[in-house]
Amino acid sequence: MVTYGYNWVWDMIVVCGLGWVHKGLSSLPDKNDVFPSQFDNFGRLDAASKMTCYAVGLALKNAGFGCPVKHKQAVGIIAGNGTGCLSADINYFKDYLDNGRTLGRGSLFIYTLPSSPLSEAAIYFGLAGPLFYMAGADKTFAQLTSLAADMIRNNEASVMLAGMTGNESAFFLVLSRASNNAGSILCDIAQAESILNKGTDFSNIIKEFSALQNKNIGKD
Amino acid sequence: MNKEKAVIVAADMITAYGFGIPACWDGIFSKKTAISRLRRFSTKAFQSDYAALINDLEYHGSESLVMQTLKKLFYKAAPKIPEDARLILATSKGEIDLLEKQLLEKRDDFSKCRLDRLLKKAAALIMVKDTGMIISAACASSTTALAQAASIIRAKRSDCVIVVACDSVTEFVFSGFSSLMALDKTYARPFDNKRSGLSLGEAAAFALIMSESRAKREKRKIMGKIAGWGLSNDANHVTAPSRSGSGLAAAINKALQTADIDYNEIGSISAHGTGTVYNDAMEMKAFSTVFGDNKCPVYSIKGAIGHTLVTAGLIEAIIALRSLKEGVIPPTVNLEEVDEDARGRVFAASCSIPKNKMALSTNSGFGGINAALILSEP
Repeated sequence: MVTYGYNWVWDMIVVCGLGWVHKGLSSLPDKNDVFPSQFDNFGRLDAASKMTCYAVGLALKNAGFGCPVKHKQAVGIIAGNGTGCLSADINYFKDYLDNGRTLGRGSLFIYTLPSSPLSEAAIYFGLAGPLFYMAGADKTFAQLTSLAADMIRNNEASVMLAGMTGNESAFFLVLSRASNNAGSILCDIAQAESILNKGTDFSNIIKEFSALQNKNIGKD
Repeated sequence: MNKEKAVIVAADMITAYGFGIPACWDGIFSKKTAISRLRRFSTKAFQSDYAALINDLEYHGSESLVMQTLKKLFYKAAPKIPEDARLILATSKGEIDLLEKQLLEKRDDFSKCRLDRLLKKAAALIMVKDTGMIISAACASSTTALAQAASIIRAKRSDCVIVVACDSVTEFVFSGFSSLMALDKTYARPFDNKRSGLSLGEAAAFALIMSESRAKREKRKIMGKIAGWGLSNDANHVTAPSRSGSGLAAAINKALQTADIDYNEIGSISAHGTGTVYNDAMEMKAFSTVFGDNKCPVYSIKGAIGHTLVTAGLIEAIIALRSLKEGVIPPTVNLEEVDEDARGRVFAASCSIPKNKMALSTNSGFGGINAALILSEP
């Protein structure tokens, strides 16, 4: 295990990977770099699900999990935002109205659950642990990251992905116990919580975590 | 390590049977379903025209259906909720009828329909200081919320959490389920060999959960304990459950582990039991995997009050606690000829259950989400 000079407490919850995408679907990385095996029906996913799958893929890869996870494993995923799946709701109901209020489109309806993007990521990556959408009135990311850490402490999952999702951007951290981590450690949970408690501005969060990562790479 | 136990000290509900737990309990035991013809919107183009609705709600009025329901629910209860309680709101579609109204009137102020707006309104209504959190895990949302409440208490992050759940039957929701061909033409018949789909229902409910030490300190009457919980995902399909039931079995095993008990200590199972062919079959496989030849009695209340979406798990947990207290499980309403897979486990009639056993309550939802709770008497 790479420790970068820190004395990690064996039982400590740590951040061991991160991945993000932003600026919408037009600026995504090469699909083959993130999804090396066939991703059936990727084209039918809504924008939030595509962004989520990319960010999860990058985070798992960064944590050294390899993509895709070959066997289902007890990795959980929780994520949120403020709006739920509002754009998917609008898309579904507009389409339904355009069809004369007679025919709803099931392929649009399935994305009207805030948890659906997480489910799409779970299906591709074999994430068989706890899965739910969570949103707070403020500092959602900080709240859900603390919750994810508690779930590891309570042995509800061995690894948790905690993140933010949306149509334009998605960001995920991989949390695990220091003892369960074979790759590099970015920071401990307290440091992550302190970054996240500063606010929810997406680009600032990315900058702070990227700075941590670059610092650690420098020590390698 | 001294683990704090999570206990339920207050709970209430509104269902299609009316206000309160006794109305729902008595309604189920009457074996008369609350599912009836739906008049709220036109159902001409849909698979079904049946649902279980709460009376006296105004559709597309000045207030959303869920806010009207929550106001009824908390009219008397809100002043009794400690203001330091943390709030978890379980919902999936929240005030979706406000969005319908905006689009039908060709307006575009969609900010009113945001889930975080509903959370703020709920916090103000319940009069708690906490800004709260929303948990959404499809039809396993409120079970997941109860699990998180118990987890928060066990982690000693709080000693008091209120879980509130609400969803309503709207044209948006109904058309969607119809498009997925998930609805029974008339009444849902969980675990029946002629079952053909679910019936939608609407409800709101809450449970006030405290650490056992605080509940005792405040001399609260304890309704029951959340002894264990487990969450899992099938990682299989976005709408269909895993045919093997392995995901749900994993959630149940996790719940048994959290409760630190053996499956033989479970005396009854409140199943998700939607009435869809695949869900009910999946559940029976999961129960067989975990319980083997132990024919622990299983029931579903969705033939009575419909599938109340995110609220289902909370209502089912409250009914399971009442069942433990009474020593009897509810009848599975609308069950005529039990499916072969469910024979010996599910019954049309109520039946007595042994004392000093715990209850298992399970829910599953779109996206392969599974949640299991183990409840015990005080």
